Amino acid sequence: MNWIAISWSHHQTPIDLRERLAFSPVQVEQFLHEFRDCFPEWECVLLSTCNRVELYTASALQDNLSATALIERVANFHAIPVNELQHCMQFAGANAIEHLFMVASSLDSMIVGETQILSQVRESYANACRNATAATLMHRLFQRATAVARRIANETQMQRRRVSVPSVAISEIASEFFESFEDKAILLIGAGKMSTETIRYLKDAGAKSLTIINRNFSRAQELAKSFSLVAEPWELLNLNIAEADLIISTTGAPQPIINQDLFKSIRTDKNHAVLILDLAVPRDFEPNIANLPDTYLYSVDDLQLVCDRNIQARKAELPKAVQIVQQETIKFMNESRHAGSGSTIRKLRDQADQIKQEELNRLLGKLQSIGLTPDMEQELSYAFDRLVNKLLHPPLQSLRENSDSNQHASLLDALRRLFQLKD
Amino acid sequence: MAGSPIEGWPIFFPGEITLLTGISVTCFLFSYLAVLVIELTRPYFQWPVRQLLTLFGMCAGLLAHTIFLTNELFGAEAHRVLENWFQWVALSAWGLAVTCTYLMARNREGNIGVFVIPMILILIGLASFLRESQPFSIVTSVSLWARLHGISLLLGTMFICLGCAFGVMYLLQSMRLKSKLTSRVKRFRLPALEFLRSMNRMNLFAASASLGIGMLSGILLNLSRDGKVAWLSSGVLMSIALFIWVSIASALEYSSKGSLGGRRSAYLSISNFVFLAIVLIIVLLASHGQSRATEANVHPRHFQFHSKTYASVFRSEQRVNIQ
Repeated sequence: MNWIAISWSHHQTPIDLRERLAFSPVQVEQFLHEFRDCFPEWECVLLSTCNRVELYTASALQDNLSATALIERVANFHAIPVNELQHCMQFAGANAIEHLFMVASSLDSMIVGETQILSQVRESYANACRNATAATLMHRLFQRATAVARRIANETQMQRRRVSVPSVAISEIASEFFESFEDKAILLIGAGKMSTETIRYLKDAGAKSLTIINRNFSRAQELAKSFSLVAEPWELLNLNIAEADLIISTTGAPQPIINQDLFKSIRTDKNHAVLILDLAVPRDFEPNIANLPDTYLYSVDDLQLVCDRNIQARKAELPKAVQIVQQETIKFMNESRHAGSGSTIRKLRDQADQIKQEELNRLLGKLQSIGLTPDMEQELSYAFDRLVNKLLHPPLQSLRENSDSNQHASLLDALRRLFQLKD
Repeated sequence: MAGSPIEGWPIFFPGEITLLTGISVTCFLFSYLAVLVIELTRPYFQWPVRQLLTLFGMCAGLLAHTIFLTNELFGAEAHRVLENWFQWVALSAWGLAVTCTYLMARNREGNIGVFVIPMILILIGLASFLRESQPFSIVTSVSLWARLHGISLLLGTMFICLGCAFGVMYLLQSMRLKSKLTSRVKRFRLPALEFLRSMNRMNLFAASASLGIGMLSGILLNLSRDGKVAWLSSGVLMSIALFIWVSIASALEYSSKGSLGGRRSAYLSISNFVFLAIVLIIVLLASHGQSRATEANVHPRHFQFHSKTYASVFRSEQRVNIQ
């Protein structure tokens, strides 16, 4: 069984080359069609994300497809000189399997433990299934890759710690203040990418009363509409700050939009505490606002510290996760060998049975003329069975004994060649 | 056993139930203490069975505490329910232990035990100190007002103790969040600020309601017994002062809005506890509610004949009421 993988990832491929190598959804289909036409015996899955372009191929036959041929195919497809693509990582056999497991489990990602990659891996597998370039081998491999990723998520702390600023802000900081976000007055200042991501986390946490304020009111309205929220004009900023339980600010203003004096004058109710998550750089709230009583101010630096600590914590879990990947790779390879040898053994037995039956029928036909009793006929059949079993026993025994060794594939290949077993 | 107003529901009288008599204060005191020690080790090392162990310890302590109280209140040597300060304080500690076990089970990583168990231990310590205290006046403690007075003040004490624990937790959590310590001290978690504030608020209101009922029933008790209220006795004066103090605290808390601003209520809850401690000391020193000269100086253990007679009278009264 042949497994080959080639990878251009953020580890060794610069971003400009990754951009040129990236496949659009249409290009993925086109590439898979071409691949299927050129290498009908091979299965193929193409994974293309912003951080990596990878090609996984597999065949049950000892075919002569090499990693170089795959690189040339990709180079030709994108019209990129082959020598520019030579620095890719190449994996064969168990290494290819292990690499996929690492990728799917997000152990090879730029941000270790991020969960998006698993859905991208599954999407690429679904693409291959749609384009008929994934069959038995890829089904088994990608289903196992998903299972390995889940096992790592369950058995390690890799994905339990958040590492992006908005996710840490909501899941780790705001949750120390609020039991529930459902009845809280939440004010979001700014309507950029950071706001969009923050809204998603807030919505997931159950936030209902969310108001967006942005200098560009139409942008605020647009964002509010996409999440079924409320947008208010910039002039009502102070009024909303006065009422809010949680303020999240993400504007691109070059200087603070709220200073301590202004904040004090806005927040007249001394017993109404507020949490401010200032995710903007430069900051939107003057740092000395944190000195006011019942006012909790977190800047992006405070949150980044938490993110960095979580990243370190994830890295500490890495050896445990890698160990799981290695265990699963060995298990998968053994299972693959057994699955591969199973069909070969079945073919060998079928072929032997067919020969035995032909010869037995021929002999019985000749012996009918001298008056063959049913008992004698039965005895002859047993003798032929024993002969076949005794002839097949030594090679099958050797195959079984070497099922976990590296010789298994060559023995299987030899068996196929020696007995001329056809697929 | 006497008849019950609800068929099938038993009513127990003092002297009717005796369970494992070997159980003493030490049994549940050490159970709670062990749980506190296990809880205190949380920041230093991780222990997968910690949660299970602490809950088991609390349940074991509660079981021993319950058996002990059953023997005290309804056992062979008991004369009447809540007959002295010892029983009153031991029952308050029991109520606090039940609440603490529930809160620990609900909020598994909140370290609630670290703050509430010391309150339980203080009450148990106080109960042990009052072990030989004089019984409450027999004449007064049989009336409905007396029982209402005793139980509502007991609840008020429990709520104030809980409020104090949550107040301290609130201030600590608030300080941690202000100084951004929470993420650095991951292993020592506290409940969300909003939860602590709401618990504080609830305890403040419940304490003032209980103390209010306790004060009113005390006045009615005095009026029904003596036809007047000894307004100037230190026990009555301090109880009224505590009620006024707690009521002002509740009014202040009621006027504040928002889900986080609980520093003021935290301070109020802690001051309530301090005030309660002062009131308890004064009330205990003043022998508030205890037997007077005619009944006094006779320890309950030497009061067998009188109490048994009283118990039988009380049972007859109960039966008449039920009929």
